[in-house]
Amino acid sequence: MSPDGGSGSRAPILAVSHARKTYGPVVALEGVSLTVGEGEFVTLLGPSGSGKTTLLKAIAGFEEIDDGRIELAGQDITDMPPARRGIGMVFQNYALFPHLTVARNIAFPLEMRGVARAEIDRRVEEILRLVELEGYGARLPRQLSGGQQQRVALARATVFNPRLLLLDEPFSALDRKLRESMQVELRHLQQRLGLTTVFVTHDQEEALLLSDRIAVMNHGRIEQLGHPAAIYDHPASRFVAGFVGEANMLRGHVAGSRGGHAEVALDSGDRLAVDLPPAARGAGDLQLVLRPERIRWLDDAAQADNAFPAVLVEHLYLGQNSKYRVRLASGLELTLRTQGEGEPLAAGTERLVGWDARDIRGVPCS
Amino acid sequence: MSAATIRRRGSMGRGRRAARIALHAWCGLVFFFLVLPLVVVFPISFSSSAYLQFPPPGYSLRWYREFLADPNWVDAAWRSVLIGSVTAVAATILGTLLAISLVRGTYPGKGAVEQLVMAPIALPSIVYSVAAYQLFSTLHLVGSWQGVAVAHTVHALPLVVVVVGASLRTIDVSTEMAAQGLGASWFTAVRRITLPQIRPALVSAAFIAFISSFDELVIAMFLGGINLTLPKKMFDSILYEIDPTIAAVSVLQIALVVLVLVVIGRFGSGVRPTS
Ligand SMILES: Nc1ncnc2c1ncn2[C@@H]1O[C@H](COP(=O)(O)OP(=O)(O)OP(=O)(O)O)[C@@H](O)[C@H]1O
Ligand SMILES: [Mg+2]
Repeated sequence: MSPDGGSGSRAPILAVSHARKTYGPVVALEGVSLTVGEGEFVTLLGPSGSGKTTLLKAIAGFEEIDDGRIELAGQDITDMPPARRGIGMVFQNYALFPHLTVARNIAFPLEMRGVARAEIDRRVEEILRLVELEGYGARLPRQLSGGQQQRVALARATVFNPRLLLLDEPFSALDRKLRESMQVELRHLQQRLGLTTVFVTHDQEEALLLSDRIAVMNHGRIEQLGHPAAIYDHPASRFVAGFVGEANMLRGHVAGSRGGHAEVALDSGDRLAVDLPPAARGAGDLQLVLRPERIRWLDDAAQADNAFPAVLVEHLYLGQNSKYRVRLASGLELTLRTQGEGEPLAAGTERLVGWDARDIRGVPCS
Repeated sequence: MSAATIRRRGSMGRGRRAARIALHAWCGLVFFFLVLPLVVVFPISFSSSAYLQFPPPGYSLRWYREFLADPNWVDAAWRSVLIGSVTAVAATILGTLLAISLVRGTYPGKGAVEQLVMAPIALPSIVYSVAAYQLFSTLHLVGSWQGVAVAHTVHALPLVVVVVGASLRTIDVSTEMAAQGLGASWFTAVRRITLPQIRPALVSAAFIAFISSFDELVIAMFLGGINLTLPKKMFDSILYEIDPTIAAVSVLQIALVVLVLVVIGRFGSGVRPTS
């Protein structure tokens, strides 16, 4: 596997190289490179203003890039008008044509391609069935619910077998339950039609759930590109660690070794056993990531490589899991997460907490 | 529901009812004021008397016959309808293109273009007419109906730009983008997606342009020469030979405008974009 968890054996459909885009003084894209393989589902994940929409619009042809190159199926499309790119896009607000019925909306890309009327009718029927909107063809978009409009937009963007499907935060306007069922539906449709897909979201759970690979964006750059598990377990930067999932961020430096592990002295004064790659051992300052679900309650200090007495600061019950904030003797505060309801602990309770040397990750200092 | 909320709702209902009565009264007053001239003009046009006399001593259709029998009147009426129609079509097409450029475009000097387009609104008609006369006399357009139509078109442009521009701003640009992404050229996207969404505004704009020309006197006076438009002919007839023909013409004019309004009401309503 390539370092970015590359498109693997799949033939690359989309290749963006060194794309740069500025709006006056604002740098929206700063040398972004990305390849997407055939049938792959890649998610652009990042905070607001990180350049996700800009990258999507550049791929679709709605924004010209100042520099760089975009290829689709081996063909340079950097300067090609959007109409000729053959890319389907679902806009954040759906952008359905309000004056046309659902069927006419979906028929539009086929009409533009000169498909015969009978064939258009057949394909519109077929895709309406696929998105479970049979019998809704004669309605106007405003007569549909948000989730139904969403499905019409998806049908319209896929009915002409696009070479690439782009979705810009398609579910952000839906309530949680509907969003979850739409996520599943999208994934099924995408796999069934074998659609190469670039999906934009700022919801990290959605990204982890849906994607073959995730590109984490920040300030117009891709900070990390990889499989969801790799992004979560081996964040490449402090930003990625903080943005994808929750993280306890610790700073320190290597102070020796302990039982086959490196020993790290934290700025707080605590000393930890950490599994560090040999390359990182000599380094000066270290940034460490400790996921809240890696920390456990201990009965005995021998149960983990690292064990500390701690005082409970607060307990948050979150339904499927529980979150605790604890303070170590050094004053360092950590977040701890357990599955299930968790023990109802009162603030001030003293407990032993701990984690193993391999539960903690180093990321480059920034 | 507690007694207090019921009472509050009750008093609010009374307040609202009073307000509604006041509103109706006001609307009735305005309506009366607007319709009053009609109440006078309409009977006079059917008068049997040779003078403008109210109430008329008897009724007849003689002034309508008079109008139809006089080629000067009929020519003037046709000329005005022709100029108004050309103005409506030309101003709507040009004004819509301008509105698209002003609302959607990003280019240097956009502000200046906007000011220039709006200038005829601010300019007094006389000043505009004199300037047009100067220009058109070098182009040999003075005295032709085409000259009046050109001047009326420029005069109506700002009205079209305002009406169409306002409507363009309310519709979602991303629908036009989406259409292009789905395979439409920019022109096709505008024609099939953008314009249908603003159809009511286009129809209103055309109507306003038509009326602004059909009703216009000053420009037509300067540029019309011997080719009289209806307003100019009416103006002349009031000056020289006042008789109830003028009332008959007014009624016909009103009837035409009402007819256009009805046609618009029938075909002009379109789909409003969802918010
Ligand atoms: N048309 C524009 N003119 C000027 N600046 C723009 C324009 N479009 C985007 N930007 C700027 O470019 C940067 C990236 O914007 P972009 O819309 O790509 O962000 P995003 O990641 O999609 O954010 P969000 O999650 O809020 O949609 C932002 O700083 C934004 O202000
Ligand atoms: Mg965006």
